Amino acid sequence: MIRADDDAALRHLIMTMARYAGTTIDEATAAHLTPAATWLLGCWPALTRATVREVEPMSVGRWPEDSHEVE
Amino acid sequence: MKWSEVETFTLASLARAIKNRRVSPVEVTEACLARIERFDRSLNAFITLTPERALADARRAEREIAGGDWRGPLHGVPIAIKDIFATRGIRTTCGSRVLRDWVPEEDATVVQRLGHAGMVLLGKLNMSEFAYAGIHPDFGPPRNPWNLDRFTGGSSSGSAGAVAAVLSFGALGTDTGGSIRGPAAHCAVVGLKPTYGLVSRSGVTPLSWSLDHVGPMARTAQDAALLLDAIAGFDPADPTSAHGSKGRRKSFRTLTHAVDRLRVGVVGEFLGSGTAADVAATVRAAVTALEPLVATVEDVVLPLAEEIVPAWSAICFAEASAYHEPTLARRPEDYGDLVRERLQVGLAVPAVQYLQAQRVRRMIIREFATLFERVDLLVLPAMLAEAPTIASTGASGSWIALMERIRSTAPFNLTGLPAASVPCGFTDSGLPVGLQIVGPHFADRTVLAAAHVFEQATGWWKRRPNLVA
Repeated sequence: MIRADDDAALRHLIMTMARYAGTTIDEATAAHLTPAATWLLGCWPALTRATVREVEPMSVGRWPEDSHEVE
Repeated sequence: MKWSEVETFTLASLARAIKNRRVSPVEVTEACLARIERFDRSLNAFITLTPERALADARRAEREIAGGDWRGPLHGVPIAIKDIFATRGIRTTCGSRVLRDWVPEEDATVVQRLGHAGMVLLGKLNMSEFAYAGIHPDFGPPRNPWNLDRFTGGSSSGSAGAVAAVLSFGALGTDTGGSIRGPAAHCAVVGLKPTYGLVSRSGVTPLSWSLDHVGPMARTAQDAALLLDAIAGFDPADPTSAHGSKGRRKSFRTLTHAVDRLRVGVVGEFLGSGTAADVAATVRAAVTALEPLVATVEDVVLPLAEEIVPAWSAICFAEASAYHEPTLARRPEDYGDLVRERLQVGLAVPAVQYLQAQRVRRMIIREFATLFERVDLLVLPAMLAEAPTIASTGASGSWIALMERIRSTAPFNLTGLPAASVPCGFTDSGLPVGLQIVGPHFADRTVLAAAHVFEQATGWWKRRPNLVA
């Protein structure tokens, strides 16, 4: 559950992460970005149903009708 | 040839006319350039025009064909390319001030392939900045040929506008969350996001490397299939490229004859209250028109629908920010506001959230594979509302609204499934609506074959916008 004081923490997080990434975000800009960050981080709980054991490379297979391994 | 005669041809019919030497590549190129001169001031589809290159390509094609060396259906055909594809000696801006003066030394693989196929390159097309958000003010908004106050949709904006206005017989676009299918739907052209790995992305500036796809845009499904044939296939320069040669494929005609054996699933959740009423009604009518053309039609439910946009968002934001991080640190002021904001927000995506998104993605891919044991194709609206106004597209914070807009397209970027938008009617205000057709991995040409059968039965593709000079 997102708490009321999360806004201030998120503003701080946005500015801190940006600083570590070598850029600067002022407080007003961070406040402007906070609703977006709230929305994005709010997606996290929807991702916790993952049941695969590991991250696999994004590979969807071969081009079956053209593969040299297909008769 | 007069500029007005250009629109009597599709890419396929022009190819036949060029092969049979009824139309000269030079005359059709000159007519396209005249058409661009006349209409692109209002449409703003092009960022860079290459008339000298186009005429040189056309003269060479004419000489070769006259000498009996016809390379194939793209030989001598005028085509334009989204400005995200590297083009040797031609500036490639990605719609951003960041790359305003970048002139690549090499062509992207797909540009090389179109070159080998004999295309005539008209120029580079306008787009959303870095295919991410908003139109940078340095380039100005591409306008929808159906209504100049409306946006074409993004990010392959100029690609859709140029094809809809028949400034070009085909175009290349890219699609990370719907950037081919959305503009195609809004402009009444056909756009295909192919299977992940089928078309090389080497030489294409990434937005989100595990979601990005390169695909064709054209007036008809057959035209899109001709473009796809030219660009698809393994490329060692792209580590995600799918192996396989281009031999032993069924002809497009054979695939179209098999459409009546296909089982179609209608994704009913996109035909309800979350979709604009006139768009939903138009797509329902399209499904009714499709029904006698296929074997069966049944309602289906998208698997793991609640997880799709959250997974797509975490992946896209994190990967885009990772790619742009060094430039964002050095030149933040050179990005447009919307892109800079998204990149800054993306820096705050936790690694765990990104990794969970990739794990959920594998689940979603598997669930879709199971769904495709029951049906051969899915159909749903390409976009859930008509083209937005130009004025509404640059609003700060509109990226959250974007998440609503991509609900119908992002599932197929996440899963890598081939998905096309084909024109299927118009809204109450006369704006185009696209029917999205989706197939299992590597059934790209079957998707286009179904789109072809649909468009031949319904004829929506024949409607053209009344262009304003």
